[in-house]
Amino acid sequence: MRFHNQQVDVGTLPQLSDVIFQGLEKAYLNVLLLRLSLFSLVLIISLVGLYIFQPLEDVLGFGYMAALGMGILYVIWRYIVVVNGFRNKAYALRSKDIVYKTGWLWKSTTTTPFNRVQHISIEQGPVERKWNLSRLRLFTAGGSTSDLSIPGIDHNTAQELKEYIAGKTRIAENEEE
Amino acid sequence: MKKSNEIDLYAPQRQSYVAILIITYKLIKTTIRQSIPALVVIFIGGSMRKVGGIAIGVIVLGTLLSIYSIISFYKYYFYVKGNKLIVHKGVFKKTVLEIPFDRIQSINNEQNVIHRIFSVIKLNVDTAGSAQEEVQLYAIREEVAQKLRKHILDYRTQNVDEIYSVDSDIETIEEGSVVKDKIFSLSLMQLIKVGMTANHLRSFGIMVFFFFSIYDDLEEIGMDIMERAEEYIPIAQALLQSVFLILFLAVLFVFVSFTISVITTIMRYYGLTMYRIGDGFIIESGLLNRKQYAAKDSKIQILSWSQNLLQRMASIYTIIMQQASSVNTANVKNATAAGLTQENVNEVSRYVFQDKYDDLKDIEWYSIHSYYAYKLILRWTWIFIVPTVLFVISQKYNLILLAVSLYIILVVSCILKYKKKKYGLSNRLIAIRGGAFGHQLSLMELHKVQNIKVTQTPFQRRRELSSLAVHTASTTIHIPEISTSQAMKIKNYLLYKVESSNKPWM
Repeated sequence: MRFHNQQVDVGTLPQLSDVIFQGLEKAYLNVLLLRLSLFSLVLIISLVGLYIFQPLEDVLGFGYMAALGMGILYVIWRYIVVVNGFRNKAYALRSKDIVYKTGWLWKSTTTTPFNRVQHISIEQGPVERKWNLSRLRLFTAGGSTSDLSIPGIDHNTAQELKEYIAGKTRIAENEEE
Repeated sequence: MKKSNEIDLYAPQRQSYVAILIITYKLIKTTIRQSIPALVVIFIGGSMRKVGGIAIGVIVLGTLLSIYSIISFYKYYFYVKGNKLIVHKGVFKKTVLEIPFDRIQSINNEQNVIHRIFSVIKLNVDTAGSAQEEVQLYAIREEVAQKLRKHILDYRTQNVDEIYSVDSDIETIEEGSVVKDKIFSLSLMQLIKVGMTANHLRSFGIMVFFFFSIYDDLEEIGMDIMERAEEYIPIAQALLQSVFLILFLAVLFVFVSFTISVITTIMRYYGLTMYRIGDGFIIESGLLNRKQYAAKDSKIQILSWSQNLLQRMASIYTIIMQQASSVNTANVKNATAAGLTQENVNEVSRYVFQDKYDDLKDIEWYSIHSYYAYKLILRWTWIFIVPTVLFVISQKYNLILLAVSLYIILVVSCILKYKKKKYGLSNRLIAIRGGAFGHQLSLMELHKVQNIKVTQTPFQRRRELSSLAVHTASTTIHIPEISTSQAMKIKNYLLYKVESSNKPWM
């Protein structure tokens, strides 16, 4: 077995900042908005209901009004977060790893090398199925906090990605021997 | 014999029908466990008139759970494809799990009474990492289980050099070699030293925690509380009303917690002996409950040693070997030994890292940004500000004094924590220093990295800072508050190291 351990100039390493990221499918925004709208509808209807019927006598009408106002503000805020969050989610495939970035205000970028992937799964919820979207999950031995989970990928693309990555992990294994 | 020939592992098949029974039973058990508080309220607060309602509720819930189990049974099937075990499952959400045979850590059989009656087997297929990756076949026919097991093991003996089995580590280490080298053992005097220098603050915290909270689930009391307990000290203090009570309780708590930690530590580390066997370690300890921990070199992901303030004065170390293992066996994950001298620590480290350990000598240490201290202090300030204002309003001067002095200690500890936090990288190792009043050092080989995450909060963005989390198969190494460009550099370097190396992480 040959042993390589040559000196590496840190400046010449592949830079993550050069990577061109691929955004999620536009349809995934529909999924997110649909979910949020259902939630908002339930919230607002119940708050309006409280305001109209005022079930507790010792709470002033003003209190219900304030609750409704806060509810509306919260819903607006959620819409801003969801839309911006969607815009900031993106992934990039490189020859040896996959990069996923997420977060609008609180940003994070996770990189998983293919030779650490234990297995891959594709998940699809009932709403996602409508738009033919899937979630690709890469499991590593790093535990659930570090598993990579990319939502909003076209189902066929997800299949292709899965095959591609599975192929890469297989190659990595063969090299070991 | 004829029957087992008929089994085709490559064709999708469901579990045995007994699985419905077992899944239902499991669901009902977890539902009951989770609703214990509600049930207690109903039984204590509710009158007998409500019994009818409860009965209906139970029946409805039971039926729903049974239907759910039946559907999940029909949606759950498994088969072998190539060198992978494939499992389809999910009632509302379809999931397909693919588990390559060479990632499987162990296959365990389990049989309880129900299993035995119907002669079926529960098969746990264990891979390293998160719980979602584990496959549990709740009930399959014994022949199927045997065949599947044999199929996987056959593949592995042909294609994988070494069979990892989480449960049989002790045996494999012992089989592998004849020589059992003693690294060190604790004498009675040393044991007492370890007991005296134990983390008394923690048992103090645990006492205060018990004092102010009612614990409902005995199973959950463990390391979780121990870690959380330290946060309760200031809150508990603030709640106490008079000086005398504080003084009396303080003396009592200090005395009792000191005694408790001395006794528990002595019980735990009685007769502690650490051996070097083959390519691993074995640690034995315990007075009433003698335990044996095994740690194989290849499985150790992070090696860390630490000293608290008292241990620093006694110049003894505690060493923790963080090992890769699956979630199911979380309790045997870390091998810990206390009361080591500097020489012992060096010896153990040299065994684990061999010549790489020398890198530590001329490693270059980097500091993190002072925003780390600022952030920690700010956090404590938020916690302290409300009670202190309340004390000022109610003119409780002794409590103000207490809060202020506690706050000063915490601020000092935050500053120390920032000053001590250092990280260093060599060609082969990553090292992190930490601690506030004590010391801590963690070492990891670069190829143990599983996954790298860089995070940035809005507050960090203004200062062009980021935090780096390096996930391994055991715990995560955090390098908080470093410049974004530095974080990227480290990340690129680590990725390069992992992706260009063929070294297995275990």
